[in-house]
Amino acid sequence: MVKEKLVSKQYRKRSRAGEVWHRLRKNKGAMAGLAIIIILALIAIFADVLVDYDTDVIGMTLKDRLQHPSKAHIMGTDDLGRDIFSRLIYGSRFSLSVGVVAVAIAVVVGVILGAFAGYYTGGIVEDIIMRFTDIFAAVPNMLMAIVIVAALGANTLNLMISVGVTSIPQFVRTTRAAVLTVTGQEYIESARAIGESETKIIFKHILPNCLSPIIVRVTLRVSSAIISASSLSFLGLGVPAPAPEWGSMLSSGRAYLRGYSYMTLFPGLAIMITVLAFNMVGDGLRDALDPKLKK
Amino acid sequence: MHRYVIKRILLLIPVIIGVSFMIYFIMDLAPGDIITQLVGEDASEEQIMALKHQYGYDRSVFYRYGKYMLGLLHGDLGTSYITKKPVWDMYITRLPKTFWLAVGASVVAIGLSIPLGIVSAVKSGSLIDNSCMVLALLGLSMPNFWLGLLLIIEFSLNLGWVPSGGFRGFSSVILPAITIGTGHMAVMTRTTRSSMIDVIRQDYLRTARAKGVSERKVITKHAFRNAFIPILTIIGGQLCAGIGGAVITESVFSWPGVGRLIIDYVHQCDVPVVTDAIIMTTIITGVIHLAVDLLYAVVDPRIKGKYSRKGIRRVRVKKEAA
Repeated sequence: MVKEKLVSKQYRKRSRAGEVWHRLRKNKGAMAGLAIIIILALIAIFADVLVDYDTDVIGMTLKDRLQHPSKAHIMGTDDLGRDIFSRLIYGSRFSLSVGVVAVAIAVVVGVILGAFAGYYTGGIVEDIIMRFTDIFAAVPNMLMAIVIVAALGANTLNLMISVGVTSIPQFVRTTRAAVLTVTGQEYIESARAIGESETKIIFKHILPNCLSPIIVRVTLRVSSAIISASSLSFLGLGVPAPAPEWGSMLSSGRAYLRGYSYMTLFPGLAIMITVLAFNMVGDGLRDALDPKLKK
Repeated sequence: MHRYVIKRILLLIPVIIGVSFMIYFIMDLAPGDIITQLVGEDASEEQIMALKHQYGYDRSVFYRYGKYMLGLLHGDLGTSYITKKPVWDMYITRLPKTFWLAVGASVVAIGLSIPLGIVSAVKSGSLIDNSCMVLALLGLSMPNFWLGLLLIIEFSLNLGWVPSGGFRGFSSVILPAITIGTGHMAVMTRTTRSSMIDVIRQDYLRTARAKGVSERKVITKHAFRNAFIPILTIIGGQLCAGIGGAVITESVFSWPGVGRLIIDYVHQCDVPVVTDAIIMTTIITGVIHLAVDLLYAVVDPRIKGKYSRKGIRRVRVKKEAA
């Protein structure tokens, strides 16, 4: 107790997470991004309270079709008379959930495979995992995702799977590289010396020390997953109509570019703000987790 | 050097086999099967059976894949299920268009991002640097298809300067090239900046200044050349992405390229067209990566040693020691 009081506040020892948070808090961009993400998450969670799905989101009122932004419809209405603002609010559910679930799939599979490949270097396990990863990564992400969705059928779950599966190679490579550097450390050797099982060493001692690059990769990957998912929906390979996915809203605005450009303007803006927020947090986390990069 | 190139090309073969296997099987899973698309509604049972036999759908998928690969080994890419044309002809008419688009995008991206990245690094922390970084972040976060549509609205619908889509000579390349180039530019500006910042702190730049080399020459010759390797990696990656078919951008601009070819036929479950196009992309991508690795040696002669016979052995020994 006494000792703690003697140390002034700024030198008090923080936990590692506390340290990272402290650094992150100084980064204005990252905090702005975090605030946007929290607001978007709240909108997505309470979308049902904010708008009524059957009347506001998918209910058509043909007499109100193609109205320019006004007081009644602040972002105008689309070609079927649906209020674009309400649809955007509800659409946040798709973009956020697809982004997060897809990356979660990729993280679980990628990190486990990457950890084994990094730990059992030079063995057949590494060879199999890495050759598979090479084959997977040899096909451009977008093409791979298109083929998978086309094979499985276009719906929200398959969209998550395809975007998730195409993100796996990145996580395998990132994790393997991180594991390789950690495995050489002495504390791993001592864990081995006291006879801990190999799986325990991987999950208890190695992976917790590889978290920084993985966390950064996760945030940045969520943003590109959101773009990929809305791109697939834009191509008609994602969330089926009439669900208000931002990419498919943009796609339906294509027929009305002349004169009704607001139909493409607002959904695109929504995607961009979401992606921007994740990118800002990702950049901030990278600086906070790796102080060496800072000037 | 030759050994290295041959080794890399040989290593490409298992990857190609793996990719073809994977894509063929995934495509074969697709729900809408090709037979129902080929025959009309009033086709008789016999006609269906005959078609099934013709395309091998009365046998297992392994049989079809084996037959397909056998053709591939003889240099025959097969014929499209839908159009009945050789896939090679379909692909090769699309490739130049995608190629020009990829080159155009790279010109836009390289032309803007390298100067911006260098200026940001040299004046690190200044207003110019901050605004460049904000712009790069915006470019990175902007969905391609949205930017494409906005450009169409402004420059072809409102101002009428350029066509809104299709392939009609040089003027039609401008908008799609800018669309793809913007995303690339964002990544490249950031890479150039961070790579240059690393180099700028090095002692040899101080030495160069001390012996009276002009500041301009210090930056462009001494610093940039040493910072170029990571930038080269990014350029290679983006060229690959472009050749693979910028699917989204091609579809926004109705561009008759490889990406559109894949998108159009993936919907119709045309297995040979999609598989072949993706295999060709894989080959081209592999060759570009190899070319980039070889260019490293041109930019930085120290790397050349690694590609020699001794170098490869040395790297291997090092790996084993670690």
